[in-house]
Amino acid sequence: MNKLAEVIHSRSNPDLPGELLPPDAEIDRYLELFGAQLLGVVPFNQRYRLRNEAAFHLERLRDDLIAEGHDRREAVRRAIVAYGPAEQLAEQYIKSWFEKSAGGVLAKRLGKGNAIAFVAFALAELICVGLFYGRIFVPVESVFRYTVDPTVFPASTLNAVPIPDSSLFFAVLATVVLVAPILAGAWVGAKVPIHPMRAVYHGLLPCILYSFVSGVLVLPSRELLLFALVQLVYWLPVSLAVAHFARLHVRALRIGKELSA
Amino acid sequence: MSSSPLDPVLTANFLRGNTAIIVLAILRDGPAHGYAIGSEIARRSEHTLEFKQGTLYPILHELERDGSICSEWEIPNGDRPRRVYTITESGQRELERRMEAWQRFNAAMIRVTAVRLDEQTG
Repeated sequence: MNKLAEVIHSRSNPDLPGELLPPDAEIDRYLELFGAQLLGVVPFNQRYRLRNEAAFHLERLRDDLIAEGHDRREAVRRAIVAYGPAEQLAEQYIKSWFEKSAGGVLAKRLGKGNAIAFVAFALAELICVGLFYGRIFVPVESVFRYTVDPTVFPASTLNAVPIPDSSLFFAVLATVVLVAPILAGAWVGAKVPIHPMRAVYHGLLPCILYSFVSGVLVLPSRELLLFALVQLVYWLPVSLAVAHFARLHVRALRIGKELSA
Repeated sequence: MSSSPLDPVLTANFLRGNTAIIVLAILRDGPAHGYAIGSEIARRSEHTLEFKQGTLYPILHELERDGSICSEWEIPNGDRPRRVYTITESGQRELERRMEAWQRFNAAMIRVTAVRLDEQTG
């Protein structure tokens, strides 16, 4: 049970012993828990509709179970079990609501969350790899052979470039490499309301693989191999953490905005 | 008469991707709210297809976004409002398309598994 669910759970269980609460209080608690999972993610009109549908469904189930001979408290308990766990259903709904709103071919093929993450990290990858290519190819005056296709690199003409060096170019490159996963992770966290960390993992992995293959092809220059290593040990954990916290932050902002409206 | 429910994991696997056909097939016979759809599935399957009833709503909302069904609030006197779903023409076509594919798949599965049974018993 997450933090929000715990708060709802504790607030909806006052000091009264459970058996003194009216039997239908369990339905209210369930609906609060269900609604809380959707708050700050799904728009109000959707939440209103889902909550009403769940309430109607649970009440009908309860009434049918009472008609079968169960006492009211037991009927409520069984109705909730038959309807399904609130957190799981809310997650399933958010997933379906988010993924099915995918527009482009890439989003439909990969899943909307994965597509967003892939675009974010592919953009970061392109910028970083472009800068690395500049650093590798400019000194040997073969910058005009610049290409994103790693199979056409003139690897034999390259020399190892000292790492680090004291140039402004290297400072810019290092800054971009350090900041890129934070920005990309934050973007994914803000845009993907469900499992953003999973999306980051799926979006970043092909980029790491591309850096590694490119790195092997431009040996003896070690730049891109080191970059692949940095992506694995720095980009991946940092962007996972940033995506997680960005999602929580964006959700809290939306809740605050909704409450103050 | 009621059959015993299938193993829940097996049921979930079999239903994945097919729940939309079941829902559309129920709605083909007339508009219904979520609870009535769930009850009708249980009745027609003789309680063989048991699943968490709340999982129906993401499917209903998805079908509505796709244009296969439409819905409206029904507010009975003094009772809680309920959302009633109706199949659209495009939903009818989608159901026919899926049913045809399902029947072919089902026939192929029966043929394939029957051969295996023959081999085992023969």
